[in-house]
Amino acid sequence: MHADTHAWVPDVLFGLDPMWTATLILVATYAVIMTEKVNRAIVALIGAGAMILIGVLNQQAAIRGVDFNTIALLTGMMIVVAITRKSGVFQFVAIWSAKKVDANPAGILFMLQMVTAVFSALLDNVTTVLLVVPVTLVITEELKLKPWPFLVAMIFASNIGGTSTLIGDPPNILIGSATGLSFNDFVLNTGPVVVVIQLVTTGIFHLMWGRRLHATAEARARVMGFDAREAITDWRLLKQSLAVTTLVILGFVFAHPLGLEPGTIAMLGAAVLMLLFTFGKDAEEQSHDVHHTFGEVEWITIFFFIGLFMVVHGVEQAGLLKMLAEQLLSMTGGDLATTAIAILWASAILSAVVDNIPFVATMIPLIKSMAPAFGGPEGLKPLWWALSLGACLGGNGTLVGASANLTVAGLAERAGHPVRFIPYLKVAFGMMLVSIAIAHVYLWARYL
Amino acid sequence: MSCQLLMMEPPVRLKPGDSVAQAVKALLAASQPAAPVTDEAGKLLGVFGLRQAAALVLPKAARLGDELGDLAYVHESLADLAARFAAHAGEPVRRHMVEHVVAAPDTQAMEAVLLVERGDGFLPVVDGNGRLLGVVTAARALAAVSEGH
Repeated sequence: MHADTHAWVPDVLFGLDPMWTATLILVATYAVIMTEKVNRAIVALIGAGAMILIGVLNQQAAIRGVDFNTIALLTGMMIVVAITRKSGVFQFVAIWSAKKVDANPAGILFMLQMVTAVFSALLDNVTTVLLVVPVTLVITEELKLKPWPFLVAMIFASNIGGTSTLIGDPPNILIGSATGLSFNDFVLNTGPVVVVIQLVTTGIFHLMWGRRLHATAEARARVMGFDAREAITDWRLLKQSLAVTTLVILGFVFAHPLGLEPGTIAMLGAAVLMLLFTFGKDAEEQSHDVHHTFGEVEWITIFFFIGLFMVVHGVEQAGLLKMLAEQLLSMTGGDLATTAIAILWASAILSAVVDNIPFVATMIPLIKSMAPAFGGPEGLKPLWWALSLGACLGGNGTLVGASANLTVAGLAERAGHPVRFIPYLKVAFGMMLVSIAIAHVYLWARYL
Repeated sequence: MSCQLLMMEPPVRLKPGDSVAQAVKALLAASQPAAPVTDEAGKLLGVFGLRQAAALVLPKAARLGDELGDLAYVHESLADLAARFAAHAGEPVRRHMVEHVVAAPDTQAMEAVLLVERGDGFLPVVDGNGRLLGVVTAARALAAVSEGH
């Protein structure tokens, strides 16, 4: 049996002060992550190792710091998507949507934002852009249009769409798992404002770019000649993938009251889909397919989370986050509205310039420790929505603000259409502030 | 056994300013998969081959490799493909040549055959200063092997 987490008393080497030692490890870990000189998973794991070796955490406490529900949810969904993508469904939807608007460039700009936002809400953002960007580049080349407006609009749609659900963006996964907020809670609380923000953003992009985009009748005819059905490479796999993905999402919606965590549902869905995918194949082929599928899990992200959970647990145990929470409360005078708005804007600005995952991982225990000041966990809900909206939408502000942004930039660069930091910043930062201003009004009107 | 026994003078040697159209014509005439691109001192700058030429017929997104998936949904005529190629035909090969794995004069023959088998059937051999000494192709290596037999 494990001892109770709170029973663990740090026994730091040389009698150093646990709080300042933990703080030093946290700051050093974040500083090295920000330099991007060392892979972030390695940095987080070394930070976690330092917490244990120096004695801020013992091994049992470190393991308890890991949120295995988050790890299972991320891994499970990555497996489901890794198999689903093989069917060609993402390309199918992108082509279908372009043809639905008669290959009109402004219409395509609108449709691709909608497709990206919806996929990003139901799957993860990085996978969505990884699959929709290549086909977008093919379409824009056929139309002889620069892909820049489409790429920027898709980055925004992926981060905005992802904000609307528990599984859409890693900050929401972290918040949902740590607080018990369900899939439905996110849809009902971040969902409405996300719809408004996406529509406003789409409108601004139309005025800025869409209405000026023109393609010749000949170029549009070539895109209309695309056969979306040909993009489907495996109809059987498509049906299986859609069935399992639908069941997993229904599971998120309906199984929460039964006490089933999203991680359990996603991992079970992943196992069922792998069973269907490999059914009837011989043992060698099964091993090959399962091995290949596991290989597509983004292990850098998974191990980054594991290390980060331990580092954050270290500073939590050492009392730093409680102290910071008290300071934040004294700054906001213990007023819920001021605290929520401060969290919203600070999360947005910080998430635009640094990775939002470590920020949110640190903020969660910090906000949790404010519960007594706001009448218990129920009173913290507006703060969770502020954190989610700020951290997810803030990622749009710069090219390094979210993983999806970097994925789009990387793909575009390789395809000969580089997306540069400063030109992106000039368009995106202001647009991000608009989205946060809308979120500010929404939070104030609905919760504060 | 050194790979020099499998090596030959490159049947086609390109200059960086040669056009794509000239390069493709020379490669097809000599039935070669690729050719070295060298400067005036004979230093290897890159390789331009039929694979790089074929890529010019494809959308730029094809550079993404596996992440593009396939292009089965694009229906284009031969005239469309010809127009895509024509758009690049006058460009210099320096713009489309690629870095290529190379062998040294003391690379073992077995290793050279492995590199040819794993790659595009073409392997430049360079000295310590990057100067081209010759090339190993799948055809040349197999001819040498069958003669040896």
